[in-house]
Amino acid sequence: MKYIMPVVKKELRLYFYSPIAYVVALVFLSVTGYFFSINCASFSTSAIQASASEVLRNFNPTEVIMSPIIGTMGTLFILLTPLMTMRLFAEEKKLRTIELLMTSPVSVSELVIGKYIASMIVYSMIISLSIYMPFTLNYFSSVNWGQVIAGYAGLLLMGSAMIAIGLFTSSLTDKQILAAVLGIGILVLFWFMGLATGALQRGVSNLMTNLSFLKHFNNMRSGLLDLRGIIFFISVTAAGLFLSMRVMEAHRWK
Amino acid sequence: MRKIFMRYSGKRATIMGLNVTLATGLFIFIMIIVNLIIGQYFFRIDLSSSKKYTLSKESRKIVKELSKDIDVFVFTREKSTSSSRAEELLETYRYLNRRISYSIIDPDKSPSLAEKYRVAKYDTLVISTKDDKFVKAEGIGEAEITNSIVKLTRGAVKKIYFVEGHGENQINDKERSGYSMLREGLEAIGYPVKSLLLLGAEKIPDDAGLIVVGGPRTPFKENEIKILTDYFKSGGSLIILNESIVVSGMDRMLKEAGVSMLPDFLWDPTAYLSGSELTTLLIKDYPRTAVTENLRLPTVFPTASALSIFAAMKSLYEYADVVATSKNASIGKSKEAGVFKVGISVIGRKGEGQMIIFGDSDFVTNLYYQFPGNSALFRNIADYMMGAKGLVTVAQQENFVPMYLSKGQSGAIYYTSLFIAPSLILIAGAFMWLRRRGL
Repeated sequence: MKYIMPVVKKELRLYFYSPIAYVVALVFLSVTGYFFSINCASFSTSAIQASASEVLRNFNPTEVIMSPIIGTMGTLFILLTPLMTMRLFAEEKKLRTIELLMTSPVSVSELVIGKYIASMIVYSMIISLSIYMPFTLNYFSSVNWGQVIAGYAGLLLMGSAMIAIGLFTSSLTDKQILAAVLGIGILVLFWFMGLATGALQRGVSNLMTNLSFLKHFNNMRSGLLDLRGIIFFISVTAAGLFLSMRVMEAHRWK
Repeated sequence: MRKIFMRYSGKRATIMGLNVTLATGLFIFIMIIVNLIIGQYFFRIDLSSSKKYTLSKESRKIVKELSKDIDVFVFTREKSTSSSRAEELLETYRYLNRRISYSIIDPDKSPSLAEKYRVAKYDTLVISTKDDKFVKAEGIGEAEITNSIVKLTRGAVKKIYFVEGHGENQINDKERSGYSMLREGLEAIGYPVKSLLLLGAEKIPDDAGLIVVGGPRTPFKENEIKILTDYFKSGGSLIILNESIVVSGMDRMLKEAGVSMLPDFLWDPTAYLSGSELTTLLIKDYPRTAVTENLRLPTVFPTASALSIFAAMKSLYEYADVVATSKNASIGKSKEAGVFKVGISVIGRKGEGQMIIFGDSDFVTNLYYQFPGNSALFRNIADYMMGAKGLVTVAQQENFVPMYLSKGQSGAIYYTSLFIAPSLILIAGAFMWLRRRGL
């Protein structure tokens, strides 16, 4: 496992020297920042009305502002993560540097894990740019930090699964755009899997709901840390990495 | 065929391909097994601000003590807010006790199941044991679920009998003076309701949990009074809704219990239903009793009469005011104002049962049952008298945390979120680009 860190460093350098990480971060901050500022203003107005008439249950910044914002972040990353991961293997294949990698002492698993870790570091850094939001809310009011932490944990776990899937789709092709589209398709499928299953049998419907990213992510951003959701995301991550390794192994032996 | 097999079986690609397929299959199998095991043996931590994934202390105690398997059916529209909330709640119940299984049923898609439990409305809860005993409730909240479990598991579900044959208000009468809404309300909280003709009967049915005498207008026969008295003396529960202007023969029974009803209606010029007569009492404050402890809603009593207690009977019976007027009420047009009892609880000190007597039978007719306080009061009394004393009242959790922003503060948040933070990213990106150009 001694070649993982060099792979991580190399990928991080590529991320920060290319515009992709900055564009993703810019889009992320702009969109979430817009919704955050709008929600803060409307919460403040509604709080005045609510305190004048009757007390509303669960009308607090954590439930009304922060939890929906974290939901928005999750939805955004369904589209942004494949853009971050599309180049990981597809670019190497396009530039023919993959042959060099395959013949180097770096094993396939070290390569895959190294690229995954680098992507996770960049993803975590982008997510952490939004940390000013709960601190702002806590400055003007108060937030339930437990629920906020659970929400960010959900973002990280779901992000991990999304990156693993993006890595897998990137390993399948030498065209970045194809990798991105395939990644978005799979993630959208996982996101919406549990919805509109009314026509199916109950058992199948329950299975599909349990395979849905949305269900487990929503639980976490609502403040529920459920071991089943955590294991689910870890399983999807492991499956994505495993399949990526298998694809790259097959490529090595071609 | 053999040649093809021999040709490809030894090839490295074939062996590699088989290896990959088997490894992938095994990996997916292991993932599925792990998730299935975790699905059965999991834990969860509720960090939400409203603690919506945690039951109240009372509910937790009742659920953990549950020692029989129960099935919970929630009849609601599929994929609606109600069904999501029901699933969240029932998952919490199941987490505490695996004896609880649940199903969210769309009554439109499962009409036979809805018919089996006579489910007429959405958001109806049915809790059933394996031997087909069940309790029904309207609403899918923690209180409804826990209280239904209590009712179902603490002994057999007894019936509420409404006496008939003396001009009482009828449980199937949908007119303004009928009790059909009262019957529906009691059935909705899981109590079977039936009518009872005492004439010709020898005793109260064994499956009776409560007898209600609702506004008789003709006299009872001797043996009918004897049946009711014997029932009370043997520990039975009775609710008597009487009108003072009617000679029903109930006054004798009430006298034996130390209660009399004064003639004339009560007036209260300071607490009566707006738009109605002074005799339509509007009661907002209640004595502290088991049935009125959590009652916050006002109740309406049209043409109620005052009840009084014979002090000499206090050694035989324990009395408690259930409903009383304000201090400004008076009887008829008398100028003597004071607090008068409208509802009294009578409990025998020597093993007799319990009676709750009201000086009015109209407050739960269809016309007045619609007042939320009236229906809530009678439901509380029914629950209490039927022995479900351990019912849970789930306090609504309030988590109101305001945040007031001035215009300047809102503006600062707006510009920071939309311009300053993204600009920092642009600057960082430009810096890295320039640095790379310089290399």
